[in-house]
This record gives sequence, C-alpha cells and structure tokens, in this order.
Amino acid sequence: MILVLLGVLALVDGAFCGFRASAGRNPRIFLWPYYATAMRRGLAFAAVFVVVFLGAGLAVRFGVSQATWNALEIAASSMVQVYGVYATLVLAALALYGFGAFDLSVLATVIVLGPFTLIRPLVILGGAIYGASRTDDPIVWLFAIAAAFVMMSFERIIALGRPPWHDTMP
Amino acid sequence: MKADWPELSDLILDTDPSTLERRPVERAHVESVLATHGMGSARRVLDRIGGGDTLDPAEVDQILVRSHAELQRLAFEFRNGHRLLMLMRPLLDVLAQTTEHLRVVDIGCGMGFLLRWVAAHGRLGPNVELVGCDFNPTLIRAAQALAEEERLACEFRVANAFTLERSADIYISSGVLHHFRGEDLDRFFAMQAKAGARAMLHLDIKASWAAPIGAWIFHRARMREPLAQHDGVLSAVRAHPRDALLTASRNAGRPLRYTLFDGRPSPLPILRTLNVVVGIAPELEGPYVEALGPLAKRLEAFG
Repeated sequence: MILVLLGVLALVDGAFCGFRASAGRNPRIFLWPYYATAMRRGLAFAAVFVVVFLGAGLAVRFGVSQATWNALEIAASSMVQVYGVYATLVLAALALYGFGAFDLSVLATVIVLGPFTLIRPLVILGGAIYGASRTDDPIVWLFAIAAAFVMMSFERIIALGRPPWHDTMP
Repeated sequence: MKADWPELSDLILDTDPSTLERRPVERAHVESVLATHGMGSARRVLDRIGGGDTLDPAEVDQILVRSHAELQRLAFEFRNGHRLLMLMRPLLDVLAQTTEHLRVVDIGCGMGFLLRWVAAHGRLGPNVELVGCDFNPTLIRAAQALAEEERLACEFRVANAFTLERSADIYISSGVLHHFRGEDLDRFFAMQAKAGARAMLHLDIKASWAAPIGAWIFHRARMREPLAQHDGVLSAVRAHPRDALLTASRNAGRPLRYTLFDGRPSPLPILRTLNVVVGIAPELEGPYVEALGPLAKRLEAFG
C-alpha cells in the first residue's frame, strides 16, 4: 500500500514536472491547453516509471525474498514522510495561489512555490537517503538511488522526442 | 553584484536612438566593460554568444527572445498584468470622462507581454488603444505575431515611444526603470511629461535587502537562459530605492505629480516585491484616488 502511495506522489510530481518543463517556453497568453498537454505528458512518463518500479518491487517480492520486500516498504514509508510533507506544502501553496486574494497568491509564490522548486533536488535526495538509511539491504538502496535519479532527471526525460514546447517560439 | 554594474542585455544590443538602426557590437568592447566592473559571471555568459570580433546579431536576438519568454512566465506568476490593470482601469475611467479615445503606450515593451495580457483580459473596449514600443525589431516582430495569432487588440512598433505621431495619454512600463541611472532616469520622466502624457504607471522591482535574494531564488528556479539568470538578479540589485524614484520623477517630470504604489518600506519586504511609480496630471489626482477605492491606501501622497 505504501508503495502505491509513493507511486501516487511520483505521478503528481510528474505532472508538475511537465508544467515546469513547459513553462517559459511559450510566450503566448492563453496557455492552459498547452500546460495541460505538458502536464499530461509528465503524468504519462511518470506512470511508465511507476509501473516499472512497482513491477520491479513485485519481482523482488516473488523472486527474491519477503525480507527485501519488507525492507522496501520500510524505505518507501520513510520516503513518503519526506515527499508527503513537501507535496502537502506545495499543494497548499498552489491552492492559496489559485484561490487566495491577490496579495496572498503572490505570497504563496514568494514563500513556497519558488523556493520549493529550487530545493526539490535536495528534497528528492534527502528522501532517498532517509529511506535507504532505514535498511541495510543493498537491493533497497539500489531502488532508492534509481528512484532519486529518475526524479531528478525527469524534466530532461520528458523533454525527449517532440514535447509540446517544441517550436513554440514566434 | 553592484548597482553600477551594467546589465548584459544592455551591452550586447546597441541601437541608435534617433535612427533606430542597429549598430554592431564589438566583443572586445563588451569584454572591456565587464572587466572594468569585474563581472566574471557575465563574461562566461558572453563567451557563449557566437560571432567573431562582432557579436552575432541573430544569436543575440534568439537569446533575447528566449529570455523574454522566460521573463514573461515570471511576470505571469507574479500577476504583473493584474497589478497593472488594477491601477490602470481606474485611471482609464477617470480619463474617459474628458477624452473619448485613449492611448496607452508601453515603453520598452519587449515581446509585449503586459499589453497582450491587458488586451486579453482587460476588457477595455474599442476606445482604448494599446501600443507597445521597443527598439528591437525581432522582439517587436514576435510581439506583433503573437498578438495577431491570439487576435489581441494591441499593436507593436519599432519606435521611440516619445516621438510617436500621437502622444500617449498613459505611459506604462515594466522592469524598465532600473535600466536608467542618474540623468538618464531624470530624462526618462522628463520625456514622458514633455510628450504630453497625462499619467504614467511604471512597474519595477522594489528595492530591499530581500530583493536580490528573492531574485536569485526565482531566476535559478524558473529561468534556463544564462543571460536571463544573470540579468534577473542584477536587476534586483539595480532596483532604485524609493527616494531615488520619487526625486527623479518629481524633479524632472513636471507638471505631473508623482507617488509610489506599494513603495513604503516594509519590515517584511517579501510581502511587496514590486512597486509602481504613479504619475498623474494635477487635475486628475483627486478623481483617481477616489476611483482607486481601498487600493488608494497603498499610495503615498502625491508630490
């Protein structure tokens, strides 16, 4: 169950990565369809990785050992604690940005949305290290390192091929 | 970074202000300016721009277009369009009582985000003409193409904003004030008054101890273009203090009267990251303050 929760957080992060990767690359005014496409792309790419990681986790459970599976769940639980707090704060700030009064929305950006984008790599790394440190199973370490690597490279990954921001400049 | 450092975007582009012709930019000249100020990080950005002894103008334009697109994202996030509109709409209402057709001119509009946003969301009606001026033909071509593509009622010109065939009723700008220093800032206000403006709204970063830190965070988090990252932080360092803006406008920009919106010093400057120089003809001052309603509390006294 905790792995599913971690997967959901990865999906949310993937959608936001799609938004961020597309932002600032299209100078038009009416951008919501463009952003929606970019977020769907981020979500789809994230879904692929979530399926791969969950599949690998299940392979560990049925092919390696129950103990490693248990260790994976312990590590995932720790990672969810870190990423969950981060995601909650970002989503709360987004709600304030979207529905708050003018000054509050700008404040949400200044205090949370901007700085939290900047510290995202540190949060990813911190969560992965924290999760891995809860077990001494090298396979779990490998999972944590791989997950952190994918999350940190995600904006570059979804830019591969022909993203929505390809050829958007006038 | 220091307030007297020039922005790289001002160094890599050179336009004759009278003929509006673009002049070639010698790399050695830019390098020497950067060396004089000890701007090592700017030098690294310069080294990435192609061309030999003279900077490649096409590449410079591409960098500027990308930088403006990123800047537009930041302006959108900070709701600069809303900010301008909440000050400009009451002004237009007041001016409309005596003038049927109003003209708003955006000085140094770049790719015209502010005007295009206002055209898209302002519902200002056919009697308000929105004109953006900039010296850079590439940015203006982009602005015009974007406006036409989205069917926005605004136009963009490669022009000196102060020598248009018909003066503006309201001059506006965003992120332009800090590009001018000393006498140039005085001249900026003087030329608008001389051109016959009845009001002006100039939005810029509010100078504070927190501004460069905030600018660094946001330009690292949101920008990809090295020039935009560099100049964005430097802009916050160069932002004019409240007194400098008031002194320059009031000394040079008569007969209009001036004040600042959100200009009061705050112990927590992150609450107000931008301020707006508001200039207005003396006879319009009272009606405008009244039309602003509760927002008028954020204005200081006109002078």
